Amino acid sequence: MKKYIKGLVPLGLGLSLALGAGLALLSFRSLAEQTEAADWVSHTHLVLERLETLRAEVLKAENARRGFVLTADARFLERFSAARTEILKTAGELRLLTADNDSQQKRLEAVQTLIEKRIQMLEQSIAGIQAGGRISAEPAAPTLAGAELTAQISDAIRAMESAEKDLLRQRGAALKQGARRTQTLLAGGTLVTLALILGVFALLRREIGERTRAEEELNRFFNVSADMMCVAGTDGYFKRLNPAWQKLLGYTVAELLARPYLDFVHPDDLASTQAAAQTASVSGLISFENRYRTKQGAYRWLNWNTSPDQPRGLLYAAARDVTESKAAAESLRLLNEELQGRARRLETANRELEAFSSSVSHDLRAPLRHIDGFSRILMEEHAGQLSPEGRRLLERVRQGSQHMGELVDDLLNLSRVSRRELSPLVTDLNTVAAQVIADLQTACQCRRVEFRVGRLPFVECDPGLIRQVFSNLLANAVKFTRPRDSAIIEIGQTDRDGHRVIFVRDNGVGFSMKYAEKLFGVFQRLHRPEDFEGTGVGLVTSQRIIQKHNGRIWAEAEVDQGATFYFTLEGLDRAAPASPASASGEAHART
Amino acid sequence: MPEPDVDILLVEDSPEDAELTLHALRKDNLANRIFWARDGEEALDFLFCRGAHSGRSFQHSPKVVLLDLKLPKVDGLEVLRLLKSDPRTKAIPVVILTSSREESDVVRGYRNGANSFVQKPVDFDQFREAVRQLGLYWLVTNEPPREAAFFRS
Repeated sequence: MKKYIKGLVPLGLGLSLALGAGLALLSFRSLAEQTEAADWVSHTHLVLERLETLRAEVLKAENARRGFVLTADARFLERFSAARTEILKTAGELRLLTADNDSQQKRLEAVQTLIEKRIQMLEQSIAGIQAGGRISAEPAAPTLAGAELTAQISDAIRAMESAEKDLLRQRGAALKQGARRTQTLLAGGTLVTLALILGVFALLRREIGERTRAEEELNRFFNVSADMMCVAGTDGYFKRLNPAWQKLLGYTVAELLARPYLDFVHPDDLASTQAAAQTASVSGLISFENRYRTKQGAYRWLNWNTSPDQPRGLLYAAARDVTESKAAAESLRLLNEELQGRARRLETANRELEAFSSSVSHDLRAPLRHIDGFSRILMEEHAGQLSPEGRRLLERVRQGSQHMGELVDDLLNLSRVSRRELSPLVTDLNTVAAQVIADLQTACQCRRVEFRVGRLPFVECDPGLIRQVFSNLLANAVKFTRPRDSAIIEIGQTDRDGHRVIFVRDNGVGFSMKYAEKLFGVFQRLHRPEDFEGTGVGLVTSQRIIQKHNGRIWAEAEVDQGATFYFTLEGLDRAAPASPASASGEAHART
Repeated sequence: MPEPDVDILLVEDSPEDAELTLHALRKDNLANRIFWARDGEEALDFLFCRGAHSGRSFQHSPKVVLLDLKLPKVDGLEVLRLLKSDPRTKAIPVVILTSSREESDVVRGYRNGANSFVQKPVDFDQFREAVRQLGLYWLVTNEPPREAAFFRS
């Protein structure tokens, strides 16, 4: 729209100028025509007057001849001669005057021929009188032929007169028409020109209005901007500042305008600011940062964007207070550094842990093996030299060393599990449970244990680790149902708090919920070792594995009423409801 | 002075472990021709017939090496690496017999060409059984290449 208007203004102006010029030309031409017309009128009058003279002179010549005939006075001859000269002269003038008109020339020729004939006639009459006195044939009154000739002359002259008058009339009409047309054109042209000028004026007014509005808009932005905006001169002074300056730095605008802007810059940033101003005055500058002193003496970090006006030696610039974000970035950097340091330390700790467990594995097991090995050899090869009490004590030594071997193995397993990266696979929990149950059944063949396995889902998990969980929970269930004549161990899935959970339930000795918290502590045991053997590491390991799967494990139990262990896995909620393998119903296993 | 032929090279720094191993082997009459190297260097000297063992010959390499990993001077994995990268000793079967069950040790052991990896169980019965099976397998069941044939190809 704006562009359109911008194009219209010069177009309108150009048109009105052209029209004005056209009108002037038209006026000029019209004036010239008028003048010409006036010339033509006087020309016609001249012709008419000369024709009148011609007629008069012919009459004069006739009168002179008659006078001479009547009086024979020589003065009449002079008059005749004068009239004849005048006729020739006037005829010559008329020839010149009508030179542009062929028909008038022809008529003039006819007039002249007639006049010459008449003059000849008159001259003959005069000559006759001079030669022989009075001639009767030539009386003082004109002869019939002479009178006829005179009438013809008069007619011919009248014809010329009327032709000339016609011409005048025609010219007058044409002139009038031309003048009327010119008037119309002039009036129309003037009107159009006026309209154009008015249109252009309206456009300009609108344009100016818009510009004023735009300027006002920019001014409003300039005044409300939270960023600091300024116009700076190459002389090192601010020329114009927006109110944000006062708000952010505390100085009044007048104070800021009064001193070179470098006075407000941090001493350490002076050189870089000068260099930046130099660059900025030639090409634009983006994201230059320096510090400005506030009235209170603190410093604020400003981030500058500039645009130069080289011809006028001005620099348009906007600055943003980035003190806070810089501080935030700095603290983020420090935090990151600290985090990286921690990560490094953690990595080191992990490596140390690995080295430690490796050495535990190697160094702690060796002496245990030796104790067991040598006491065994002692028992086998030197039993005869030992008393029964001695043999019993030796057996206790072996038991102790074996238990410690289990402890070391379990601890190592826990540390391995903790360090291990998950290798998740979609796993059929039914298969896992079935394998674990099969292993346990071989281990406790002498007992009556009924496994009731519900439908279990397919879950994305680390099968090796989840197998350990099943193995641990089921082994516990088998262990703590030992006093029962008929042990029943259930495995299945159910919903708790909107999450799918797997449970392992037994009808064993259970435990008091008072101690439930201790269940998942390393070496924590809720039963006496002489009742139920164990290291107290199994459940911790299971918990570690479940946590690695972003799940949760907990237990519900009552003394002598059995215990139920529940666990969730991250993949459980989106798992397939049940594996097809067990879709036919619950799998029962009995030992 | 030529050394007697050796069936088993036991590389073990712990005298207790060595004694238990020998005891287990002796039970099945497998321990008659055993050489016990107490560190990696001694094992390498023995295998490469140098130093104190310069009198030995590559023609009479042991039928199996029982190798512990944590050894003074040159550690077990290094012994394994040197052994398996030399064409003269490459064919000798090496069983890593160690207390460690660290996965990284197992992986490194096999990567360096171990033929077997056995963890020493704490329980002596299990330990004895493991050693017995090893002895039977490598000395009786396993068929090593004849040296001449091996070197020819």
